Amino acid sequence: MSYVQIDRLSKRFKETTVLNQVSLSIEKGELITLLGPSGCGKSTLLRCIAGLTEVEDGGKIVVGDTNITQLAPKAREVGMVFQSYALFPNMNVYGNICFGLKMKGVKKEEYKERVERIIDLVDLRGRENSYPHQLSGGQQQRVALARSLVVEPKILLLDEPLSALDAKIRKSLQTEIRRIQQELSITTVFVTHDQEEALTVSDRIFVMDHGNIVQIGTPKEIYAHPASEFVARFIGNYNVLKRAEMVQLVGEIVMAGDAFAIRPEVISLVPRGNEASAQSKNGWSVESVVRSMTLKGNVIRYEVETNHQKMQVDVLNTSDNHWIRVGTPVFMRIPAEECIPLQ
Amino acid sequence: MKPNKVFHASLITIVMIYLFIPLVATFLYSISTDWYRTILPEGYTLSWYKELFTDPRFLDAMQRTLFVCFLAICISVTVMVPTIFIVTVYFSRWERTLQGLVMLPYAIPGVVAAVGLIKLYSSGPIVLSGSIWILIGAYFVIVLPYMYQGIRNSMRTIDAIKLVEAAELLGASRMQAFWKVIFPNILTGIIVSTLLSFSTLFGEFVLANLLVGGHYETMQIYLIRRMSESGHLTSAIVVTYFILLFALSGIVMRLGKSSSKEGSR
Amino acid sequence: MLSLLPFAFLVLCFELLPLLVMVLESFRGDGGVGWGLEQYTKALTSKYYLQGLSNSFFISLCASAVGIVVALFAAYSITRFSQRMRDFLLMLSNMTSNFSGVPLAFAYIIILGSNGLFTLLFKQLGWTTLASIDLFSWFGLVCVYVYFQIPLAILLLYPTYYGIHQQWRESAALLGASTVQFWRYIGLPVILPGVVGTFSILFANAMGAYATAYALVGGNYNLIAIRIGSLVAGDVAARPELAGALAVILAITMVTAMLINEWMMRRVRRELG
Repeated sequence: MSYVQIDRLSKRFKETTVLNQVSLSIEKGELITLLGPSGCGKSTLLRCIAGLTEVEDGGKIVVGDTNITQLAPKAREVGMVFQSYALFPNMNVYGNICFGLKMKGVKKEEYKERVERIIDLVDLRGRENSYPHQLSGGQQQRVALARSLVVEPKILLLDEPLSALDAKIRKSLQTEIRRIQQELSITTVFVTHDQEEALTVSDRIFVMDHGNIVQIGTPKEIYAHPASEFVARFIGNYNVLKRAEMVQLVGEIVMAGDAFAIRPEVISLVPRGNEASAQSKNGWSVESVVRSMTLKGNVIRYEVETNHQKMQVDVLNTSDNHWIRVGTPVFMRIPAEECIPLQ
Repeated sequence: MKPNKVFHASLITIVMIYLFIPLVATFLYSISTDWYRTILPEGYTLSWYKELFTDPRFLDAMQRTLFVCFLAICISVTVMVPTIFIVTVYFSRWERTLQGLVMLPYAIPGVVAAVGLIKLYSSGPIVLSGSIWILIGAYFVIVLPYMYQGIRNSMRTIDAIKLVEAAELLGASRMQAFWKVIFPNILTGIIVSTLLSFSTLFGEFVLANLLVGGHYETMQIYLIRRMSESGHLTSAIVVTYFILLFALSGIVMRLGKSSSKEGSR
Repeated sequence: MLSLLPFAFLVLCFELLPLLVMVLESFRGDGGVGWGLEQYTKALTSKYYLQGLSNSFFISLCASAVGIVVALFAAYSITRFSQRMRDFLLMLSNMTSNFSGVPLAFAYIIILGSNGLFTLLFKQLGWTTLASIDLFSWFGLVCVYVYFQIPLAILLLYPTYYGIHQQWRESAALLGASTVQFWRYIGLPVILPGVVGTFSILFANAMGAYATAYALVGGNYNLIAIRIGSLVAGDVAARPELAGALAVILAITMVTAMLINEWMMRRVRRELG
């Protein structure tokens, strides 16, 4: 029996179905992400767990042994970090962090040590007396995190917690959140629309689309084996080909599947006139021409055109590969085992 | 660029002079002994103010005005703050209705409002006409837009809904969420609304005159009755009234600035 | 839920019911007998009340037009100053915008009344036309109304000008537009909704003004607001039914003006987002 059990949760706002009979389970101490484009229902699902949005009859949320479906938010023992942090502007860092403990009637002598420990954990030592408007975005984020952790919730809910921050701080806070989560081994639900973020922080990823969970898996599984065209397109820069397009590209194929996803970095480019090395026993070589190139730091992305299709190809940015220029005729080598069939 | 600057500066100067002539004239009139034969006053004196501040009728009128305004605003704050809070946070689908109700008085001039009030409360089951309660009720309605906008804006600035959700998740009851989290953060907004409402009511004449004019002499009614008697004394009233009003709007501006600074950070 | 009751009660008793009673009353016959459009017919055919309506209408129109033209220039000039100066000028406008009603009427009597300071000054300078301005006439009322329209118009128009970004002017200039062309093709079209909206507010404000006129001319000048006032609580016998009809007419004019403003402001917000 998993720690968190969510069973057939539905939510409709007027005519639109935001959550469609969603069921999922989360293990104790696990960090899962709900990943999907905006409007896929991930934030609504989070708010349903917190009790901030009512669920429709028939849905059930169980945490530990308690059915919390009908409980008020404050009785659920969940911690939540909002996208806007929702820090209380009239209280300083210390006041914000203590708030939950005070509300629960914990005595000052008892919580003092807990608060000190959490301040160290989120690295806010020295800022205890600052007010929210005196803090940077990253620091506000840490306060919000500390505030929801200090009450020792059963689950921690993070609603796009890093989306308001700039790229650099976001990266460092991702690892920070992951470190804190593992240190406390707290069960965490992390909502994001950023697939890189999801791949970095999660134990498991739940990909959502139009109110449904469309794939569940570890970051590695999701990245390497997208189950559908939607996941393939959303999770990475896959080349997605319909079966007919695939046949046009490489000839008759024996693999089953309606469509195929090929990651740009598994394709290699070989100079023409070097056909021998282009042939491989398990894969295809396709005559093509480089149409454009974009430098992406450590890799170069080429757009390569065959008679029928345009394909994205990523190649390491090393001097070995600098013979490939716009207009260069090449062979595109596609290993068969890297073509992922999709339903 | 240069001649442009001169143009703007002189234009603004002229407009401001135009706007301040009546104020300055009233002020000079209030401190002059006699001023009807000459361009400038013949002499200066503070005797009009002395006379005014020892006039029991003036002091009574002042007291009445302060009393009515104070009462109406107290009722308004105690009723409107919880109403706006509850509707904003818990019944957001009624927000448009509330907005319609509170903004309506903007479009209804005092003289129109008076017609229905007089008719409704001069006969029938409840007779209020001539009593100050009808005036206080009417004043409650007049200040609705000011109260609503000030309080609603400050709730919006602090994102009250999110703060309440956060507080409730941390174990606060609705009352605790309101008193510990929302109220301290909208206090400036409430004060600004209160002062704005106060300066509006303080200068209110139409309803006071039509609803209770005969029985209850407020500042403005006192002012209009004095007008025909002594110009100098009236000037002194007007100047006193304005000093009060300026002080109020000064405080409002200062508060508004400091709160918008905090909000923007 | 229960905490909304006091609000509902007060709004019902002092806002909605009185308005309802007023509207109902306006459809009754004299002395509250019978139902019909009698009062409206009276209000819209009697020379006396028609004159009141048209006086109010034209005085408001003129005062608002003068007010908005002055404010168009003044508000723009304010935007050309430094931040400190802008704040200061806006504060002055804000201060003077409070100056209306009875105190304003009184101040005007001091300066332009028959023994007013300026009247005196003009007499001594020999400017007889200016000296003979009758404050208690149509023209005099427009003068006084203009006074309270200007600061209000400045305060309302200023944010509209603020929406015109310096970068628009710069890019227009780079594309070869002169200052006149900039205003003709970009500036004016952008501020126009704001100007129309402000004008409708000014108009409504003047239509509903009672205190200023009452203090200045008492019941002697025929304005719609004054007529309503004297019909409900005046020297003549109260006629609440007719007052109701006139009040409904006035309220409709004002609500229309406010709606025009609301509509225009929505356009401004959409464009200046």
